[in-house]
Amino acid sequence: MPASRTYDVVVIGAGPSGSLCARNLAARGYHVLLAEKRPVVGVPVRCGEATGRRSRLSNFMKVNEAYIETDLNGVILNGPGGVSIRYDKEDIGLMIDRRLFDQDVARQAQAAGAELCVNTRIEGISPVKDGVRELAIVDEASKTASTITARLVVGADGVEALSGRWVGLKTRQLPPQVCSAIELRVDAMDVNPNHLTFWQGHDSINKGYVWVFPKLKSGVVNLGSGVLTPKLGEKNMYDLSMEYKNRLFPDAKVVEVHGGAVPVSGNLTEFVADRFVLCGDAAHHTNPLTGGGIISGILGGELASRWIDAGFRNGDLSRSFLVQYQVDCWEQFGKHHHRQMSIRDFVVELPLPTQTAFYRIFKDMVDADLSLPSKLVGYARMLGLAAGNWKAAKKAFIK
Amino acid sequence: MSAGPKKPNKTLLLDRETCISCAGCVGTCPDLALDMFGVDLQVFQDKCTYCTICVRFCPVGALSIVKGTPTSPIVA
Ligand SMILES: Cc1cc2nc3c(=O)[nH]c(=O)nc-3n(C[C@H](O)[C@H](O)[C@H](O)COP(=O)(O)OP(=O)(O)OC[C@H]3O[C@@H](n4cnc5c(N)ncnc54)[C@H](O)[C@@H]3O)c2cc1C
Ligand code: SF4
Ligand code: SF4
Repeated sequence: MPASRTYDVVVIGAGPSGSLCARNLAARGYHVLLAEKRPVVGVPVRCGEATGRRSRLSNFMKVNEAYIETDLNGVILNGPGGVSIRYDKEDIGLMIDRRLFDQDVARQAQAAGAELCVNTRIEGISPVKDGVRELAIVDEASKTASTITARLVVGADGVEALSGRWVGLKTRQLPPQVCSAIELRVDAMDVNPNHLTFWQGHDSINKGYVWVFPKLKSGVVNLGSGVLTPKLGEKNMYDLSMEYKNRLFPDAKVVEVHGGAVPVSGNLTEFVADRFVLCGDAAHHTNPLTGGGIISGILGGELASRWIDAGFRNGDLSRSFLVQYQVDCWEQFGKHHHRQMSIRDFVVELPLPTQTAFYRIFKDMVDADLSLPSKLVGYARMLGLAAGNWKAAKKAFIK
Repeated sequence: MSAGPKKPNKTLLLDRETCISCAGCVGTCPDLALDMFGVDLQVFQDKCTYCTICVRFCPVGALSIVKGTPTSPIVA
């Protein structure tokens, strides 16, 4: 149960995005409640656990070795027509333990002065009245209901994204722009223990991908698959993941099964309201090409905290002020995500032979170490390919 | 609930044995007919319009729509 009845800021959800936002605001002296409905932060882990490099993460926090699983040195991308692309490069990213990571960020928020309450479910948010929003909360352990008020509410409630809908924002995960995903934790080690391995295309799965991400420290691999919302009766991701598991690691045990939704629509157009902002998966800050949402969620939380602070200092927490946060998100990563979504849409629209040709071009570039001449030649060939598939290109790039 | 059109003679069935409590379906429902309480997915049959979106989404195939009104004991 929260210790107070009134807060400057209530953050809903102690995922990476919410915890980071809460940490920053508490550090600036605001009275912050971080409300999490789960009994234990970070459990269950619904994530492939691959993320950006150390230097990227250290922009936001002191990296704690406790949650680092693997230093990644490359990527293997298995495309259609047997085209396999191998890219070796030191320090391209990390595998982390999301349970330990989420708990670490939540602890940072607590250390900065935020009040973390687990087992605390937010059930509704009132319209703004007398400069505050009222939140209906339920203590999940005792099932007791109560209300608290906040001068501003941050919805960092992840893919379920109900908080935005309570205040009238269109945050629903609209098919097909939401990935249906499954992840198996398999008691095995991959032959390429420092590489992320992917399968994509008409030969494996076209509107998604299969992944194998090795967690070296724990000695397990995360094997999963995700796809843009399938049609009724299409193969589900559990069956697909099990096919790959049985092929790649026939004798290994599946120790955990998780699933979930990944928002892949690109940033929402509207994710602020009067005295209300969304960040992370709730604002669809996830990368629509890779489905990665850890770093962009953290960045969303960081930017949200800056604009909320600015709003308090300006005495203006209205929608029209907070819109600047939306614009900032668009500039810092939304634009980039939008471009990546176009590339994704182009590749999945291509018929098998052209898709294979696309992968071959990409492979030639990577095999030449992505040197400038190889890139120039590669892009020219891709342009030729796009011209020959004008319909797919138009659909993907001219929206 | 507003007095909407008469409910069709259908039920959204949740196979609790198969459901892995991933909560993914919750965010896809247009009618706020699903919510996750701990590891228990709740289906609010009165809100469901049987649009099949969650059925398509579910990564393990735990949801289906069957003929007949929810009987007691409530199916899901
Ligand atoms: C199968 C799968 C694999 C993935 N793989 C990767 C990957 O490899 N790399 C990567 O970067 N990203 C990956 N993602 C995406 C990544 O997990 C998310 O983008 C990330 O967790 C988003 O962080 P968040 O803080 O916005 O939300 P979350 O981490 O989802 O946190 C939201 C929190 O809010 C809480 N909450 C929700 N509603 C309420 C409420 N009403 N009251 C109180 N609390 C509430 C939830 O319990 C949860 O703890 C994957 C996702 C899935 C489903
Ligand atoms: S069938 Fe449609 S309305 Fe009913 S619960 Fe599923 S998504 Fe919601
Ligand atoms: S999507 Fe399927 S597995 Fe996930 S909570 Fe809903 S019914 Fe259960």
